[in-house]
Amino acid sequence: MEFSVSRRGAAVVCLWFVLLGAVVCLPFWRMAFPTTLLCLMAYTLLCFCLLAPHFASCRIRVGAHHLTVRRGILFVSTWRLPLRFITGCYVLRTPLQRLTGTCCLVLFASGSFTVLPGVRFCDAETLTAQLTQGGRVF
Amino acid sequence: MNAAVMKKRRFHIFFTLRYLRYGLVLCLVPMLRALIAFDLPSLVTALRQDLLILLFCTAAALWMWWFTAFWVEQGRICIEQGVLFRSRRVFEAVSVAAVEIERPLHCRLFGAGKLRLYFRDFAAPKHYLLYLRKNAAQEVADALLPVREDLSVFAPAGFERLALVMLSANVLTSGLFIWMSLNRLADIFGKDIHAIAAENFTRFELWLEQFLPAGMAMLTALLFIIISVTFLVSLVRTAGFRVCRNGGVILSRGGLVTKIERRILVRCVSACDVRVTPVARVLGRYPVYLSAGSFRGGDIPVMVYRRRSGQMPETLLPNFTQPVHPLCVPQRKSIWSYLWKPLTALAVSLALCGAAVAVMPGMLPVLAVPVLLSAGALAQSWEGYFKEGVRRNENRTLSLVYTRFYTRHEICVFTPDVAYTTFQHPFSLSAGWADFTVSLPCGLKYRVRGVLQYVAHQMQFLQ
Repeated sequence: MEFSVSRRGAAVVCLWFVLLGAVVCLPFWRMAFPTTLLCLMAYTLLCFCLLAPHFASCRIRVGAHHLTVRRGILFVSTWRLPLRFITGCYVLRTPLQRLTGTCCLVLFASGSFTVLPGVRFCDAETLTAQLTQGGRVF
Repeated sequence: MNAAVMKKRRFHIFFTLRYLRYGLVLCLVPMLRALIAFDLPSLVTALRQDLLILLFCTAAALWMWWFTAFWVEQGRICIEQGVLFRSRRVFEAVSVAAVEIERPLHCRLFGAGKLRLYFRDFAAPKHYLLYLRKNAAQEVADALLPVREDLSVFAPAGFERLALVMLSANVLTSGLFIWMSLNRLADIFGKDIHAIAAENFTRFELWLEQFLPAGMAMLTALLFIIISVTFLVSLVRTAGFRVCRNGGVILSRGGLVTKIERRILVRCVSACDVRVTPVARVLGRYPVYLSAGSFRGGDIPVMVYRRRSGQMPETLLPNFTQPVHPLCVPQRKSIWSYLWKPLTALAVSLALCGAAVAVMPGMLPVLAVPVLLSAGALAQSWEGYFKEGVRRNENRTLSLVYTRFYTRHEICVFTPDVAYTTFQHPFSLSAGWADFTVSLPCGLKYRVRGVLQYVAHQMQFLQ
């Protein structure tokens, strides 16, 4: 079983970072509006050019005994752990993610966790069911 | 598992301290108002309000304490708390990986003990703290992880004791201890202890200046004081230290002012860490730290051993395997991934020395210290280049060797409950190697650099 993060889902998550940047810029709006706007635009561009492809590069593979999560284009990281030691899954859906049919999935193990931002909701449901309920979707 | 049954009891009254702390924080609010007004009537009003807040918090804490209860039944511990909202927690004994009873001086004066339960996995809380009476804490520990003390595995004496003191010395813990002690003393005596300490330090420094240059004298005085206090703290913490193993439980006990007893279930031990520090190299003895479930090993090693002697980690953990070198192929690694940090530090230190030669020759002895430290880090990284690696052993354990700062860690992982992370950047991708990280249930992460890509990706999980 193999899943990937959709580009749409990754873009939605990038919007959070853009929003965070806008909040940080708030105190500077009055002092230097054009510079702040320019910085925010550059930051937004960076988010959508670097962060979104990074999120979208995430691949999740469920093998017979272990789970593999691979992410990154230039800087590649692979997270592997045995299926029987996954202790929980957490699905987060914001209104925009509900509209786009995506979600954020967090997988917990005993000593670590990983966040999968922008996974398709149907994929997340299947994966959660596979990991926690033996494949039965409630 | 012992099926001991214990009747319902209350926690020790020290339990109320937890809630009184919140009261002390609340007391700051009236004081803040008095500070803004900055006059005597406001201060008096604030003190009255503080008294009322403290009285209210004490009453509430005592009320909470009155409704606490714990008991042990058929291999489980049950804890009840709460007044309006009652909560009951039940922890099965099989879910407990380690138990720690800590008795600091203030607890010993009032017959209390802090019992901390460390659990096996993430399903329960990671750990749970209980304030109990001394005897009750001992009974709970006996019921959850029973042990007899007839088989002493490690009871250091003579040079072994000295080695344990030197190898357990921790500058960070000691620094915190000094800082807290100075603050406490300042509160008790009402004198500016910091000023007195600074005055004595200056005297010592002036005395050293008769033999050494000014900057060097200050550094030497500081180093001497830190090392002295660190060893003193370590000496007190490791007094009467003894480790036993019986019935599948490792028991370590010791301490002079703060008495600490730790019980670790052998089958829950996730990893064993042998730390080869610079002091350990000089003494030829190596400290061993254990982690089990959510227990990370504490600050005192479970034993100190000498290679090719009778006392080896195998006496505590029969499955322990020493790493068999070579664990890696150095030719396939990148030497720069190991050396760039210490080399940069060394270059900067040497540049500063060069500038000092031209501008401030008096500062040269002081600037020699970072040069020496960087050179030490460089030597350690050079060793790491040849020795860092990972291998799966035949007895279903995993051997890891990695270096960090001035220490080489030789790890033996026992638990199959691990996660592997592989990280590659463009250079390592093209060269076919990766950084390999093993995460344990207690949250510890061991990162080995320069592992061959196919070895990292195909590393099998322990069964």
